[in-house]
This record gives sequence, structure tokens and C-alpha cells, in this order.
Amino acid sequence: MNAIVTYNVPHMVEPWGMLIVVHFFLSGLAGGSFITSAAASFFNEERYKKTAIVASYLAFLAILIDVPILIADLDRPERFFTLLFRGSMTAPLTWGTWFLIGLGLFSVLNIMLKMGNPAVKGSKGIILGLGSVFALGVCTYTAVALNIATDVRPIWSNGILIPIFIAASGITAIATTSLIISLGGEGKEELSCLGSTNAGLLILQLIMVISLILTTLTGTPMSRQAATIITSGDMAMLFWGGLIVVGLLIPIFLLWSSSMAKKEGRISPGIAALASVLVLIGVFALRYIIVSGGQMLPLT
Amino acid sequence: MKKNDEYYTGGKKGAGKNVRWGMVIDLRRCIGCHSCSIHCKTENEVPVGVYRAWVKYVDKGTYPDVRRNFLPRLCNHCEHPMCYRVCPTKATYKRDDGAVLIDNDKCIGCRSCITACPYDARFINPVTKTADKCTFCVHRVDKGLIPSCVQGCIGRARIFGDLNDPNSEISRYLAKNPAKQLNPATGNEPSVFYIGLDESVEEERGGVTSVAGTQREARKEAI
Ligand code: SF4
Ligand code: SF4
Repeated sequence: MNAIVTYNVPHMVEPWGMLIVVHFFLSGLAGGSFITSAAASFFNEERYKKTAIVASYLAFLAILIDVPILIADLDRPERFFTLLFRGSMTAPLTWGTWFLIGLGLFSVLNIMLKMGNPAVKGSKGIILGLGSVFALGVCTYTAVALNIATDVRPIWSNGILIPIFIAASGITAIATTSLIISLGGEGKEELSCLGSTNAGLLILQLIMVISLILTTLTGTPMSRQAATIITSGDMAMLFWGGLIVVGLLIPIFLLWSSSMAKKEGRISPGIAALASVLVLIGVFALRYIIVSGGQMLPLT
Repeated sequence: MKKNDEYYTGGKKGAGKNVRWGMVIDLRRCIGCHSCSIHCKTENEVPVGVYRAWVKYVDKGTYPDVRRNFLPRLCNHCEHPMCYRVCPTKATYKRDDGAVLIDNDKCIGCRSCITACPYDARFINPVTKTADKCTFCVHRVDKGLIPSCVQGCIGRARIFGDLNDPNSEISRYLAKNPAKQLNPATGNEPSVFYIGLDESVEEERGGVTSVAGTQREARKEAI
């Protein structure tokens, strides 16, 4: 039967806005960079020296900008410090606070490690291992914060959001690292390794994003409504153009074809830089589509 | 105040262990007059532009067979409230009598609770800059008075009382009439019950002329 809402009351249509999108993006960059740096040092410190060093600084810088942004998003920012001692253990934001603090500390230790500081030299394994746990926490908590919303926000409550956010963090970190290395014009070997890793992650991400859309599209009528906002509604341009084509398909093609074309599998710095920029645009679009598009279906 | 005064809760003090406050809204009696919204606004000094209690209108049918349905809304004071679980500062808390409240001095305005509440009961109060919502008028209830919206309801569609007491008016009313909670699938277990609830009225969201829709348009323009 024909039903139409003729009067309803304005509540916050989108409680989480652009600052949260930026916070999610930077958290992904910070967590992903630490793990990238740790993996590079762990596998072959000599061979992937540039990656290990660049990513270690990136992690720290990202946290440095990220935390003030999270605080600025509060409506009572002057009370932010109460998060440290009031902490309710059931709240994702509490875990997030501790993960961010932990990652901040470990990224400083990681930089000291890369500078060859004798004070931390003996504890490389502990710093990289424990730091990676905090880094993974930072990459994941943002998805859990959305996941915890009940199924009235079908995009947010989808469980696949957690691997999507983890992959997005890795993709952001690798793309930023290779962008910085490629600007230096050297390190082709590292660039091609970063490029093919990212190509793999991007393919995985494409599959997961399609799964997210398909599972919500085939769900309840409410869930379908939420998915169509992304596929053919307000978010469609950004989704198809920004995320799928610019952020996933073109970089996958660029990274894949250039590593196939040249026998030794070397990617030119120009291609690596271009692919990185496209990937970063795509990840930002993804974060925006999930955070903002996920709230667009009115609750009442 | 006499014991059988209809504005009196029966002398049960709030926060008592054995009391569980709840509300029934009999939609057969609601005429969509917004008295509840106005009573709530004046009692609780709710700022302009935000509402702790409001009435949703949903028109159903095709001319000449059309009906306007009313759905009075407020915080459901859920038994297992998601808003409480996600609050990082414990500003949102639950009293023993079931009322879910916000401590204005603790709230940092992170809006986690607003995203987690499936019933859209919460908002940021533009004056205090903290999360805000219906309090079940505990300041009145603790003194033995019924909530302001219940007192102001001209159709007497609202009944407030102790769900744990089988002899309270609300328990007797619930025993006699089949009642529903809003979207029980969320698992939050609301303490607000509706009689005569048409699910399609509840499920119908937004709508072209809804204020929420207009607000979204305005936001898009601002960007
Ligand atoms: S209706 Fe929303 S705000 Fe009220 S108790 Fe339930 S979850 Fe919390
Ligand atoms: S906005 Fe306030 S009440 Fe809501 S979750 Fe954050 S601190 Fe708690």
C-alpha cells in the first residue's frame, strides 16, 4: 500500500561527518605504515631499507595529525582527556584511544630503531611485534565502531567491513610509501615489490567491496535501500567513478601491466607515483562512502 | 496528592531495585496533536530545533481510502541499550529502575551513542553541546509525579508505570491489550510499548517531505 512520511522530526542525520572520514583515513595510514615498516624490516632489512624507514616516519606523522583531528571532532573537545581514565571497556572508542596511544609510542621506538639508537637495538622483535598488534588495533577499531551499530544501518553492520578496513589501511600505507620513494626517483626494486603487493591487495579489496554491496543488495528491503544509495543514489558517482574505476580498476591495471611488461618486473617511478595517487583517491572515496553513505538512510 | 490520583505514580521512589519504569502508548487514542512534544519542551527546556518527544506522521493509502497514522516517539529506555555500551566515558548510564540517562558533566560529545541508537532518540543539545534525549522525566518520577508528556496527553494515550508490578495500571493494560515494541529485532528491548502499531508506519523511513530529508538536502547544499 502507498505509504508516505508526511511529518517527522530532525535529528542528526549524519552524526559522523568529514572529520571522522579523515580520522579513519589517517588511522589506516598510521596502522598500515607501521605494519609495512615492520614487515620490511622483518623480511629483508637491507633490501627494503627505504620502505622500512619511510613507513616508520609515516606512521608517526599520521598519528600526530590524526589524534588532534579526533579530538577536534568532539563536541566537548576540552574533555577529551577523560577518555583516559573513565574508559568503558564495551566502547570501541576506548579501545581506539589506547591503540592510538600505544601505536604512537611504538612508532617513536621504531624510528629510534631505524636511526640505530643503541638503547632500543636489542628489543627489535618486541617493538615490531607488539607495535604491530597496536597497529592492527588502530586499523580495525574504526570498522568495529561502525559494526557495532545495529542492523538499522545495513552497510555499517556488515561484518566484511573489518577486512575491508584492514585492507584499506595496508593499501593506503603502501601507496603513500611508494609515492614518497618514487618522488626520490630511485629504488625501482622496492617500488616494484610495493607495487605488486598493492596490486594483490587491490584485487582482494575489489572482491570484498563487491561482496559488501551484493550482500546488502540481496538483504531485507531496508538493506536494499541502503545499498542502492551507494550503487545508484547519492553516492553512485563517487562509488563507480571514484572508488571502482579510479581507485581500484585503473591502479590494478597500471601496476599489473607494468610489472608484466618489463621482464625484470620493474615499475617506473612515474607509473608508481600515478598509481599511488589514484589509489589514495580511491581509499578516501571508500572511507567517505562507508561513513557518510552508511548513514544516509534515515532511521525513522 | 491521593494514591489513586491519575497523575501520581503510586509513591514508588525511583532507582528502587524492584521498580522497572515503562510506558504504553495506545495509538488508537492518539490524535497527533503534539501536546506531548510541547509538554516535554516546556518541562525540560529542550532548545529550539531539537526534540526529546515527537510525533511522526505517515499517510497510507490512495484517495479516497486514505488514513493518517501517528507514531509518538521518545527514547525507549531499553533494557539492553546499545547507546550505553558504546559510550566511552560512562556518561550514558542506566538506573536500577530502567531509566537510561546522560550525565552532562561527563559527556564529551563523541556522538558514538547517536550512531548506535537504532531508534534515533538522541541528538546533540545545541546549548550544552552534549548528547541529549528523553529522561522519562525522572526528576518528576522520583517525586511521585508521572512524566510531563503523559500528563499532557489529551487523548490519554500514554500510560506510565512499573512494569514489574502486576497490579500497576500499565501491567494490567498490557495484560489486556496486545502490544508491540519498535523494531524488536535490534535486541535492545525497549521499555516503551505500542498498542495498535502498524509495522509499515514504523518501517516507512524519511520520505520526501520529512524534515530529515530536507535537512539532508540542506547539508548537501552546504557542501
Ligand atoms: S532508545 Fe536509543 S537512546 Fe534510548 S535507551 Fe534505547 S538505544 Fe538508548
Ligand atoms: S556523546 Fe556523550 S553520551 Fe554519547 S557516547 Fe559520547 S560521551 Fe557518551
